[in-house]
Amino acid sequence: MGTETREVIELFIDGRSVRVAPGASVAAAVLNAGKACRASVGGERRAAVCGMGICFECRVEIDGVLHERSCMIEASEGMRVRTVDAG
Amino acid sequence: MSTKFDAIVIGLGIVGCSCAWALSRRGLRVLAVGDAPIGGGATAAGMGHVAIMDDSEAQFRLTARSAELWMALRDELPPEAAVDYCGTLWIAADEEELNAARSKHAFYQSRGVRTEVLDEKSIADAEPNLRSGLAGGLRIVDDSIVYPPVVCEWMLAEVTRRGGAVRFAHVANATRTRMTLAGGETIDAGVVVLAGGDASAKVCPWLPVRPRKGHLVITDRYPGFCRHELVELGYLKNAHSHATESVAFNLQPRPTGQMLLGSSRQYGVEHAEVEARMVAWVIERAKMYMPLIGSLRVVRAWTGFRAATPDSLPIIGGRDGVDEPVVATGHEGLGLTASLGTAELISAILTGAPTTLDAGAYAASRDFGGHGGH
Amino acid sequence: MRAERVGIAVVGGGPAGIAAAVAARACGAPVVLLDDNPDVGGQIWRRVQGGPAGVWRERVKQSGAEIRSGVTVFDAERTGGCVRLRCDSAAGPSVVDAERVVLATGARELFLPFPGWTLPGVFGVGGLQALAKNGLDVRGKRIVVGGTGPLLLAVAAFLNEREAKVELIAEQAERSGLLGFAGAVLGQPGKLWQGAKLRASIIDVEYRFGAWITEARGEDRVRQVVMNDGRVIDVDAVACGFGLVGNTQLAQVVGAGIGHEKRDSEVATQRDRAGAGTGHLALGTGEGRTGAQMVQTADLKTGPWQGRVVVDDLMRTSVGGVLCAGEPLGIGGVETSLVEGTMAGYSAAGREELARGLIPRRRRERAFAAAMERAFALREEVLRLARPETIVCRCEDVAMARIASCDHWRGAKLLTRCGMGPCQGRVCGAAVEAMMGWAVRDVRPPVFPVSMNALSATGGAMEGA
Repeated sequence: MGTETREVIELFIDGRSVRVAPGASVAAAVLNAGKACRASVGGERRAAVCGMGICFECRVEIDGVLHERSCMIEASEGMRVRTVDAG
Repeated sequence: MSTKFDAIVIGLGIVGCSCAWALSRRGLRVLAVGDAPIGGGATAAGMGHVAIMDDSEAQFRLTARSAELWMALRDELPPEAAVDYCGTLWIAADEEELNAARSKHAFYQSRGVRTEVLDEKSIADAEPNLRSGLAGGLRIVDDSIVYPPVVCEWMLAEVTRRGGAVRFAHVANATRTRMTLAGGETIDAGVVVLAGGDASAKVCPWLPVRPRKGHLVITDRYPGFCRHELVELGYLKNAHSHATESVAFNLQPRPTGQMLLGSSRQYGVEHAEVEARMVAWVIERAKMYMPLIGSLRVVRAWTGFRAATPDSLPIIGGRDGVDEPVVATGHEGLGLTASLGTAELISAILTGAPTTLDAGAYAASRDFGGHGGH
Repeated sequence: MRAERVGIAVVGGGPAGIAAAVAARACGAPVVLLDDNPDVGGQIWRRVQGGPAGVWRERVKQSGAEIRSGVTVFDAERTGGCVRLRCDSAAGPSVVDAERVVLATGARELFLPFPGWTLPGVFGVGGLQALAKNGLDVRGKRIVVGGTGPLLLAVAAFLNEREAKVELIAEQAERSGLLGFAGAVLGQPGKLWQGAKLRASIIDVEYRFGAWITEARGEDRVRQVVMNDGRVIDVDAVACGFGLVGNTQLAQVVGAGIGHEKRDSEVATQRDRAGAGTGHLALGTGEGRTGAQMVQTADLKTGPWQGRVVVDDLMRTSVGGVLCAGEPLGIGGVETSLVEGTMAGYSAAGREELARGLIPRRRRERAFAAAMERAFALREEVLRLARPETIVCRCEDVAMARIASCDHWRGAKLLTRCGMGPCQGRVCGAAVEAMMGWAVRDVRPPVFPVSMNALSATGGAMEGA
């Protein structure tokens, strides 16, 4: 991932266009956009912790599918992501 | 042990805890004994469905009285008991099952239980994720769900507060007034009540209770995916036939938004392992009613053992002239529902407390048709 | 659904899994490698191209092993003369029936709860590294790296390279303990060099021993951390990890024997470790200890509190046809995983004599790991950071006080919902095991959340397979 890599993947996080480098995870895209991931059972904002798919804190809705682990899924063109910070 | 107890209750599941709690409310000093943890056996494994059932008059009376008692208790229970009056929706797949729903409706109505027959359109409105084309169903309005381990904990806290005690120990055997623990220690009491679920037969070998294994799976949170406890009417055929293996669609919306899916019934399986084959079967059955359920994510699966009897009725009471504990077991899948009624009956038998229930139908001395002590 | 019968299935594509696949292929055995990441390399070699990572990745790709990435194995069952692996992936569920299985399921980080640890921006140490490797932008971010172990240095160096501003590396272990570790390292010049190189590259960063984060503060996300000496540091992110925990879930589900340390002896050992440096020094310089004895100690003590898979000298578990290598046997690091993976690969392929030849090397690596374990033993204070109101189970938001009111893990689960969420206790279970000393051992399939469709497709009988 050299700095010369162009950011070419465009996805939509809570309706807002976000551009990331190819290969970036959805979790990275969400965090780079200044967002958190999910609302906890008690209503706290939570975001990715383990980065390897075991803590389940980075769950978001991706293309209508609930509870996806965003750290385990690569961002792809046109993907629609919904986080706790959706309006 | 220097303290003399009025009663010992063996078994820390919902039936045992209810008995201990009811007896302590009658002023008895109760020792509750069993394997840890509290509410950890079939009670923890079960769905926690309080359902008024109509398979027989005796079953109806016990479950209906219990449901009344649950209703009366609801405000006393801690919030973690997660009581929710979501109602039960019995699903009729075809016209034949809808007719069955109609006769059940008549049965319930004549006995003052609030029910409602749903046609094809109204069941689709009530539960949009059910497949289209179902004939209808029957809604039991006042059925509810509860989280049993918390209730058990609460009941035993009450028992302790009233001078009773809880002891975690394995029971080797017992008579009407004496219990012997696995280590050899004996404890005497005014009376011993055996409420050990499917393990009761280890203390009273004549008891015709057989373990009937069940599998359950629970999903992540999908609030609103279903609203009522859903049960297929075909469930009745499965639950009360004594086939070696069967499954039926039974889905419960937990207050957390999680979907709790059952259920399977197996005789002759000793090990508690989750069997992939049975889980697959339960899910396939569910997909016949709710095709979209296949995309929901399962976070856990587990098993439990119900205490089944030959006539599908619990065994409550003692046998005259036999030096053995008074028993309260054999509730199969209705332990949670029937626990409070069972406890009321035990309390009536042992202390003369009032009850509207007729002990005869559940008596230990009844004819089990070639099984049991006769 | 795909269903097939294979010779050897390797579960996990980290160093141990890669080595196992390479070794088994070298013996001519057919190998399928199942890995839940997009590319082999595991956590440690995620997106690392050069060095041993590149060499091993190339080796496994050239080995002829069939590599299936993005595949999660959620159940393993000994049945009908084989081991059935039930899998899920973006392409759908599948079943792999293997004559032999090598479990190389790696490790996860141990997270210990402290006030504020649930705030967005508080990551694992390896977690932040993994996220940054996968596109998280850390440039200019002020970060405190805290916890314990060599990973702190490695990640701090990595973050530095990515132009983050690492404010502090807080290592909870005392310097005295690490002197003992340095002694142990002397026997392994390669490792010493690696450590030195790391240190050099982040020479500008403050590295403190006996230091730990006691609290993270912020409203919407982490803004500050409070250190154990009262110092308050403004941050944009925190990387915090207290060592590693082997992933033994799949081994447990298949029924493999698990060793478990009793809390009492462990506490005593912990106190010994915290008490004086002399013990470590004696151990570190190797006085009076043979490799074999140290392996024995390591087998008993590795992975504090956490259960570990028991294997024989040929990496065989107690279940026929199931082998295990690397971190699930106790945290050992890359070199240990490579040796054990190789041994497991040979052993699975029936070349036991080749596996046996590596026993001495394994002993050395495990001895090194044991020394490391001692050097970075957790102190009591970091096990007591959670306040009564601090969330411990993040999935279900269960606070410390509620868990502490219970007597054991199962009781806590039933009464508080602790461990009942989708992580299945991977985070809170390990933390509770460390903090409370309870055995956390109630693994059932599926060992990862999977769709009902995947369970029903893979659970059926194998007709026509």
